[in-house]
Amino acid sequence: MLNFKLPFKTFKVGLKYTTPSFEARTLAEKYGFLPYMVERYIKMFGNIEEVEELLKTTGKGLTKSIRCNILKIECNNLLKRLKSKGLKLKNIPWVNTGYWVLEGGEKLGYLHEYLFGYYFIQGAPSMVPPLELNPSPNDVVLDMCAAPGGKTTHLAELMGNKGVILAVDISRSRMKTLRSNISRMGVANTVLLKMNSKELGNYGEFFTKILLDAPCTGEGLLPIDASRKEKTQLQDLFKMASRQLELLKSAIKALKPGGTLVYSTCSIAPEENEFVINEILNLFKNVSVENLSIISRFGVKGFTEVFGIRLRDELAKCYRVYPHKHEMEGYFICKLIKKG
Amino acid sequence: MDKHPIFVKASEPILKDIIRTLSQMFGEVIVESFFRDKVVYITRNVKRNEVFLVTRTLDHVVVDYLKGRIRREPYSLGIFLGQIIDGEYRVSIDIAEKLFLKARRNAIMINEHAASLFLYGRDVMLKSIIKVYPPLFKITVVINELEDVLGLCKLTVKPKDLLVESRSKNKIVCKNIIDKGWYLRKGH
Repeated sequence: MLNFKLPFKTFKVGLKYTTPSFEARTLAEKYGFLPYMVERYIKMFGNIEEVEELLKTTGKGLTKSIRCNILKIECNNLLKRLKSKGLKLKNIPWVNTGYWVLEGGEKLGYLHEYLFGYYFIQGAPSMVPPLELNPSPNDVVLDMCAAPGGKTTHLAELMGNKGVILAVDISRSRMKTLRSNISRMGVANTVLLKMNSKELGNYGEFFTKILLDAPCTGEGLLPIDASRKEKTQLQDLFKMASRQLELLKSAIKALKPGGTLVYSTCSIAPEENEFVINEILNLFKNVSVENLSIISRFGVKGFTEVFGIRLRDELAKCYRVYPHKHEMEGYFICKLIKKG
Repeated sequence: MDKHPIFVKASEPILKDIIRTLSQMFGEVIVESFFRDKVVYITRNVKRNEVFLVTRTLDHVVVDYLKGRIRREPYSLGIFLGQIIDGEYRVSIDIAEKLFLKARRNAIMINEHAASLFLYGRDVMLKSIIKVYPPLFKITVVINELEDVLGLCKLTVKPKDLLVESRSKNKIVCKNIIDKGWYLRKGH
């Protein structure tokens, strides 16, 4: 008997799809995963070979990446400096200021240039949500789960340190890190607020743009955190989805008509991504999915049908990144518009 | 233990003190231009009062949304200007860096070896200084050979004595107040 409620009320999600098959149990045992996770991967990808490719990425590590902080330094100057310190960098094609660190990645947190706030150490897919949100200096932006500040500082950079970002986080210790990073990166246009973002929906429409990089199970982080393969029990997955749904509802309520919202997670679980968006689209008739312009160049379209559950067609406009296909952490991004 | 800080607009005397100190360090024209159309907030209800510089747009969000609608206090905001301790304004690296980059004054450039030590909290010896950006104030910006701001130090000698060859080269001439290594060692 399950001791949790499914968070989705507008469409039927039975849990039979999570019952592990023989193949799932065999693979789970071989790679040390929870069987229900592997069963879901088999149903998501439709072939065992691809599932095995994904499972094999566990703990393998990823190429590190940095984002140059143009509020403080010209990227060419930073590249010259880092090269002189033995780092080998390569531009990430879809982020002007993003670079893969091909050699010397272990030094990144110790260099003086890091202390000076000339770069932020950040996964490549994490650089995409602020670019998709595309804020201007005239925007009032809400960053709902802001700490440690990678995306907040990126938003500030895109806004030329003008306009306003309200950066919210619930955790006091993470708030300290956020403040230090804001300071280190020379950001001036933020107000930091410690509170639970899901309450913000109670205070009316105020923001022109919202970024919700939601807390998640981190199922996309398998290559850099092997503990994820047995960390998330089925009930944890749905509890997380419930939290994400609450946050997203709050975001929609706080967004001004005509405003844009980007939802992202570092999870590849449909329950935390397409299911959440599907529920929101069913609940809010004034919300629609908008095309993405950056991640669509390399990502994979969101599911419109998965685990035998039919979802809305617009979800094909959301995008996913997979560790085994893209050699990056797994990620999901979706852009929503609140109609005027 | 401190209670939650309350953010209020800084009083005129505090504002004047901040502007006076920063003007002495970086020049009146640059400081006044930087502070124009901005608001200074100070934290109350705590032992150490922190001060912040915010734009009018940011102020509008604080007044209308945070304090007005949701009745919350910020955690921090805008540019951290420093602290008021025992009635005295203590400058932050954040504002010192922004103003130095505009003013190019009140700084000492130190060699690479000394820069690495300074970022670990060490003081500056006379022999480490390779250039002075006059006029110097008692609290001066410390930069490396590439003009990256490393932190702030307090001069222990008169500025003109920094150029006197006869003095002991190992003499500490500037005491580390705060350096950017602090972000790693402690953080806000």
